[in-house]
Amino acid sequence: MSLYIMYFLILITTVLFFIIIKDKRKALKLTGIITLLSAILLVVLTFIIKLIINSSINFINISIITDYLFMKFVYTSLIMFIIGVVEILISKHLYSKKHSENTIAS
Amino acid sequence: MKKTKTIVVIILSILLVGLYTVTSTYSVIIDVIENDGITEIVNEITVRDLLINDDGSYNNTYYTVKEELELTDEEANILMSSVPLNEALKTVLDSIVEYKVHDNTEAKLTNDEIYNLITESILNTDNISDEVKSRVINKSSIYRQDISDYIYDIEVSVLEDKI
Repeated sequence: MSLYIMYFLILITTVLFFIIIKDKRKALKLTGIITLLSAILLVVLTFIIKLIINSSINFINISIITDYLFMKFVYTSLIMFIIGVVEILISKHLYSKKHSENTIAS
Repeated sequence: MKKTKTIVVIILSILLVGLYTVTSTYSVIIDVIENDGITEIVNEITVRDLLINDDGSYNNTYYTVKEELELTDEEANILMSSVPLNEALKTVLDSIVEYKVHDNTEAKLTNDEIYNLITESILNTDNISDEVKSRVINKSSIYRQDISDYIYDIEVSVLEDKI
């Protein structure tokens, strides 16, 4: 249930973004950068958590558990990374398209 | 006006980064729980994992067991790699997950069942002397009366309850 609330909050925040920023290409680029940053932050956080768990539990080898969870987080952040890159590429493409249209018009 | 707009965009950006990170973390946890990730993890754990640290060195349990069973390094290594013993461990770990995580009281193994698992798996282990086998069985019979209570007293944290 709370996951759906978070999805809803993401949707609302993104819509607000596109309303506040008049240049939609800029808004798309910004959301792309945000997604990229979140993906990087997620990997960094996961790595830190993995280090903390590994250093606090010494009595058995829990690397199987931490590696399993780490890979799940890496897959998630990889998907976010790809989405972010695609968003930035689309915005760049739209910028260049607009630029070439302006050049032809002038 | 432009300054206010910039501040709002910065706040929204920070909020969105936080939301993305928290939501993806939460999604991974739900994915692990719902897709039976706990069983998947448990199936990967071997006897060796319980007797070594993360850096690969042997832990205190290894030396305690080795000393108590009067094992040589080679014998200890054979026992750790034993397929029947590792299968018995999986049975016990699956039972712990069923009992503690899924609240299935029928999954709990009795003292005798655990003792039988140990004896059967040690008897089916190849490349180990009969003397070592009998030592393991004798030691198991000493702890037979409270082995089940000991195993099921292991604290298992259920992430689902904490979310």
